[in-house]
Amino acid sequence: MASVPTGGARAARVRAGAAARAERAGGEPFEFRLSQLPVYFLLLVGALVSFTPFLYMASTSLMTLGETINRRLLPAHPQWVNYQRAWTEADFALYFRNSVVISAVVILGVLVTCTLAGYAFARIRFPGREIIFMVLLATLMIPSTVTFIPNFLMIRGDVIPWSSWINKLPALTVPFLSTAFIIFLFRQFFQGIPDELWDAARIDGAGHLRFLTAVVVPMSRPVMTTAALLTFVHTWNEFLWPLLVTTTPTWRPLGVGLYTFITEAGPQTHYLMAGAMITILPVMVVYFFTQRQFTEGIATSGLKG
Amino acid sequence: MKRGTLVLVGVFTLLLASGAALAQADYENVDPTGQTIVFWHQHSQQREQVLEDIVKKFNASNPYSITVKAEYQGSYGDIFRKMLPVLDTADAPNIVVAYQNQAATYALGNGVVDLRPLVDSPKWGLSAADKADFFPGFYRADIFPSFGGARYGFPPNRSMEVMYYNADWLKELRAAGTIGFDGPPTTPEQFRQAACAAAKNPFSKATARGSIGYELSLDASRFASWTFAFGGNIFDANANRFTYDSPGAVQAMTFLQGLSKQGCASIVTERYGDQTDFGAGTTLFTIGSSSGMPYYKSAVDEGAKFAWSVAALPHITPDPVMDIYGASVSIPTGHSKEANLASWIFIEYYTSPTVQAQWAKASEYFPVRKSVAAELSDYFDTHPAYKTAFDLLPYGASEPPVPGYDFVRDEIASDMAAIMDGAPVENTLKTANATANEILADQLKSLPKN
Repeated sequence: MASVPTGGARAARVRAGAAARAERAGGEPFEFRLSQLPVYFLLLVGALVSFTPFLYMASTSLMTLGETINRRLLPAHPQWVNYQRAWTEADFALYFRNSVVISAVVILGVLVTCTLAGYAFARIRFPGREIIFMVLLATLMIPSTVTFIPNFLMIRGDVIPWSSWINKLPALTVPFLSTAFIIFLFRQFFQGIPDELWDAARIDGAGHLRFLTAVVVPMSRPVMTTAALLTFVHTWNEFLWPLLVTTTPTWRPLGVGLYTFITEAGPQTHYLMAGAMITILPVMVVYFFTQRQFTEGIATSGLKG
Repeated sequence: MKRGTLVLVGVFTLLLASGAALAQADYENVDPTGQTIVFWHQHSQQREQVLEDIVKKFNASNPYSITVKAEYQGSYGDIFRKMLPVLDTADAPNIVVAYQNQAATYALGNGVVDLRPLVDSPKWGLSAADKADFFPGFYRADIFPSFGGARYGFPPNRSMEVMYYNADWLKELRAAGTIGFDGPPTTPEQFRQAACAAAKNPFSKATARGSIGYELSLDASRFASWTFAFGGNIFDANANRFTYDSPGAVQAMTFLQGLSKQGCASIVTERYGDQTDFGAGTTLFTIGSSSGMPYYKSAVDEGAKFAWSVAALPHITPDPVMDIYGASVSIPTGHSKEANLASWIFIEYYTSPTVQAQWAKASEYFPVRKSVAAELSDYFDTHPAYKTAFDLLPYGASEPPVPGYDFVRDEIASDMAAIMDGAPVENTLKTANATANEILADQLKSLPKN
């Protein structure tokens, strides 16, 4: 098994990476190397493959029905009215609000619970810690659809006798307030916090909770941003679970709203794509402003190994 | 002794009559006033708007102050998955759309109400004239012999599998001498001839690239339709078992595999891709539900703009055998008698002649009442393809209304994919049939003993 880098080595690596970035930001010119051409070509192909579906979606969202039928590549005249129609016909205003509220609640819950859990696994020695962590990781192997029925019975009050949460906000948020993957992410990051900091905090009379809130959390912005972003993307795109636990539009999110454009007997592709663009726009905006912290968070959590 | 026997017979008859009267009288003294009814459905966009209009009119006009709330819950499959965990609970809706096989599955979980006391109720039920007004096949489809003749649904609409064809393209192929018949193909050989000719001779008015003879969607209903067309069946009602390996099914799948191998047929690669390609004039034939006609019309009007229509699938049987299907509406258990009665009153309204006419015209489903058909003559004039399909109703057959059929359908779609990919037809269908009958046997274990 590969050894886990010590806190000191990891911190040094982070500092070195930050220095390199700063140097680049200072204006060091990019050097084209012929030997790198195959790499550039592969990257270009990968970028095209990744970007083409998005281009198709954006283009189709501005087409008329005829242009989608005739499989045009680009609209002759952009139909911005498709966005207005998607917004009004599918009640997108309500679904958008619901998606924002649900995502905010889940992100807050994940950050609080997973920070505490990740810290405990990383910094507190307690009996059975490693076994419990392995069991937690093992739950990552369980497909989410397998958990639907047990979760549904719980939120309906069949397992623990409370009032049903069907059509209520808790049904859409409580089952997702903590995830094994984010706990793992935090644990990996917190393991890289230098022990010297903990020693210094102890000398000052701080316990684990004060150390976590006063020292660890302020240092954890990259991984917190990563966790928030991943949680946001996952929650924002949820479809099957909200469809299962809501029978009225009151708390339905955007994913369910999009579904109404797929009728039982025929497509409305242009509206569907307009609706899809409205749905992914917030994700793109959020990622655009947090991409640096996201990358740094992934790197410093040790996921690259 | 004679007198004693007569007395016994009299008492026995009285008991029987009172028992029957009791069953009929279940709802006679029930008051549905003020009930709020939740109706789960799968309609969206325009059909949902029409349904909401029907519901609004019912809410405004019914004398019992019954309020119906129609709620979109996703596709038929989504609704089926949502229903399973809430069967026989108060979380189930008051009315739900359900195919007959889905209703059968619900019945295994004691999840649907037997509608016979409501339909036959002297006070609330249908008159003899009303019952006779329904197309017999549609009316009987929701009666389950396996469940002692219980009625677990009521039909608000139906549709059928039809062959959509590009009439102008067929004319071009005929003029070019690449096919030897006029009009839509009526036999599999004609179908093959036209599909293969189309694959090599693109339509002159096509507005997109490509030329496909027949675009096949992998679906259990396509399987059933083609099997019927080849004189077979997918279910033996007498033996109560699936027959996916019957000679008709083997012939049908061999035919389709051959078309695919020859390059005359290809599989749909995106949802409703066949409709889109048909509208663009790049696919000569598709097979699908008649309820798709308004979408096909839009696709053609916005696409290549050509003459098109529908016809029976090409068949080797003397007459066409049309796969007719459609979800009925069922009343789930878990609610009071008052709510059940209120639900039935709405169902009666929904299937009344006036509402049926409105629903049929707006949705392009077929009405379930014969009297409504008589009122559609103007509609037939402006919708000739609909009329053509409607005229095929007497040739209807249906897929099995047995529990577990939803799961069997998923298996069959995978098996069709394997066959089109070159898997040996007989072996694949033998395995498919065994799997289907295992699923059925598993479901039937829970059947109530009569």
